Amino acid sequence: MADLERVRDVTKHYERLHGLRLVALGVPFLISAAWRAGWLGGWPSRDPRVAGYWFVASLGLAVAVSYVIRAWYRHRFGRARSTLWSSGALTLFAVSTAFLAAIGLQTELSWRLSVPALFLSAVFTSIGLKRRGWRRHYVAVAGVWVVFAMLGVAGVSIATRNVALDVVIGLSLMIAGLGDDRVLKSSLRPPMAEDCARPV
Amino acid sequence: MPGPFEELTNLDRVVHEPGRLAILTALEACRTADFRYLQSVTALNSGTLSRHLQTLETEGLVTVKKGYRGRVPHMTLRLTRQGREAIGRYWQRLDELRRSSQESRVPVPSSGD
Repeated sequence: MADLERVRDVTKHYERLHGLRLVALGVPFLISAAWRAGWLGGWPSRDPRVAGYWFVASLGLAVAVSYVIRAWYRHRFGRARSTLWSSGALTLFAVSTAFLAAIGLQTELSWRLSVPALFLSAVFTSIGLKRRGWRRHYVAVAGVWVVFAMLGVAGVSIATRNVALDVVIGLSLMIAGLGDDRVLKSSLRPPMAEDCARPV
Repeated sequence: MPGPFEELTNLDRVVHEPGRLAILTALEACRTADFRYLQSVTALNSGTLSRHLQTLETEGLVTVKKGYRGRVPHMTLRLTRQGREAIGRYWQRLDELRRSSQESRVPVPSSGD
């Protein structure tokens, strides 16, 4: 018998647990970090503007791939549509607004400690600790952002921090995505091929 | 005043069955879910799941929308207001039972006494 609490939590957040979608979105950021660090030998272009176009194109491709991955999850585990409250749209709006405020505060105060990064770290910690830590991999994501927030204090140059930002975004998406995918796969059992849907 | 056993027998049997309870719990947490998702989350086989859904539909706790996606039959399920109330009442009753059993529990003396 499935754990009812797990049934409720997984169903409530089902679409958000399609973790491999986040992994796909993380790839362009890691490639961008490699480009900024000069590991790609100037490919696709040494011109930052042209490289920027490539980044936007690769991000667009990643979004397209993420929709293919969503279709795969639906094919494997079925579909469950969230309610407006549990879809995360309202939380995302609130977090985005607060994040923009944190950026404003950072610009105003010019601290070496990154306030927006610390804010994101707090958000990820709260996700990781909620419900007895069923998505505890978000605590690792929070840790990555805390390290990034401290880079200015440690005297790391702006150029290195720009590379680090791409690494942190890419790494966060990878950790969160792989962790969510693991939670989903450990909670759901895909029906066998011969045991497919039949009318009630 | 009814004892805990009488209270226990008063539980809604339609909701109390473990498979149906898992289905209702899943449907309570979302707007709609399809047959395949309910199979994945409850780990019930399609025959058992179909029977439970039939019972829940007959009792008016869920609505079933049948259709086709391509050539494959597809079912979308939703909890009715009656179903939402039934599962709410069920958990409330269980909570009351748990509280009453804790209140009536006689403390066991420790071995040192």
